[in-house]
Amino acid sequence: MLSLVIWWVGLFLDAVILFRAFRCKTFARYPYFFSYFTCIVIVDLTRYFIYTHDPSAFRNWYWSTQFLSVAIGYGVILEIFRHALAGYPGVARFGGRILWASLFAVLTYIACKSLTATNWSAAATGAELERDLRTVQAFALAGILILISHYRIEIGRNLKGIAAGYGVFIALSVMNLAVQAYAGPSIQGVLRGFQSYSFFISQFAWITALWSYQPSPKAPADGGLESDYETLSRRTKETLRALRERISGKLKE
Amino acid sequence: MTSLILYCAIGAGLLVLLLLAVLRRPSRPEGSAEALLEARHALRTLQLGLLPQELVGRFFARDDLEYVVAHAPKATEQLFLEERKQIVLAWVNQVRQQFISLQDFHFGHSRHFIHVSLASEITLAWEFAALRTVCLVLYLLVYFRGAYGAQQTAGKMVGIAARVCALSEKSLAFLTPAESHALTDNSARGSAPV
Repeated sequence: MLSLVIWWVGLFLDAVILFRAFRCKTFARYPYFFSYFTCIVIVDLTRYFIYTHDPSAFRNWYWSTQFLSVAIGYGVILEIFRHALAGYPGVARFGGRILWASLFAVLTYIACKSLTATNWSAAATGAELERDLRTVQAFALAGILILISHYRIEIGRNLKGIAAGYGVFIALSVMNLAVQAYAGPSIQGVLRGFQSYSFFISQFAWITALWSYQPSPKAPADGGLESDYETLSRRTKETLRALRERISGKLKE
Repeated sequence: MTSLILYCAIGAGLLVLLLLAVLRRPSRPEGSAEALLEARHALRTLQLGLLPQELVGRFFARDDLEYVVAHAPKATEQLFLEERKQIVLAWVNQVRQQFISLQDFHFGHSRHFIHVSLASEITLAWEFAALRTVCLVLYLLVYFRGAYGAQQTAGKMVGIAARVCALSEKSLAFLTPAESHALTDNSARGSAPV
């Protein structure tokens, strides 16, 4: 009964988020995120239907839809990347490399592990695979957050909320799935429930942050800045050269 | 067990990064007159006031100490050591502030350009981090051991500062790539050469 109540509350929160998205026209502003979210709601509804009508089929349906939700979750990362680094092409180039590198590293790791694996169990392998795919997302999101912080890029309330909600969900999922893979099938039922509860935190973050449209501040216009910077850089280069010669000259003495 | 710890560390690391991102205070708009002036001031201060070897050498000069030890009473020696320590601590703080200002300025502006070198940016970030760490170590050394217990660290800091300056200069080279062409190609025939 408790699990059903949690399900209803979750679906109600989903409905509120989607209602606000249509009302404030944020759906069109963040299409990848809301496509992901709509898919999650549909998956949740089908799971609810199967859970209440044919519980024996739930397990298989859960895993197949779970991988779908992991795959479309990359759209959220793309949304954060697209909006946060839109005005900063150089940083976006770094970010692209980080995304590809993290994807390549984890997929190589999964490939090596599956080649050396001797015993396969559907549930354990499913949990491990999901954990690894979520880890790719964790690395990609961490990379974007590091770039945003390092280059002091301002992001708006909406994007902050999307990143915080999805980031918390990924972080808790990675930890939860690691425990599942370590402890084996005996504890999986309890921990899968925990994963659903952790999604509540994300839903609350999204409701709060996406209640109204608040975009990220625009990057300063390139033209004025470029001329400012060209003048400054010429002088800076001269000053730095003088400074370097002065210091290295003294060090040699 | 190792993989469990590793994955939990990844999850916890992401949570910390998220917390920092949410709590981060908004920065000033780059390109503002205040930011430009501050960066100029940082460079000039470093060049003229804080890093010249004569000045650094003077702070840690042993002959000052030897003179005071030889010619002044014990109380004066103590006073001298304490004051020298305070001067060096203030100097380290100022150097640190100026490098932070320079670092903020550099990364605040390099983000706008397409042709930023990844290797150069990573090296610069590393060198700035090393410099700030050395500043911290130097501060702690001077604080606990006095001005005359930290000469080697001070020398190291000046060395890293020189490397940072060289790298900053290299990383800024992409900003004016067309400058030389503009200067040579645009002169009309018969007009004065640029």
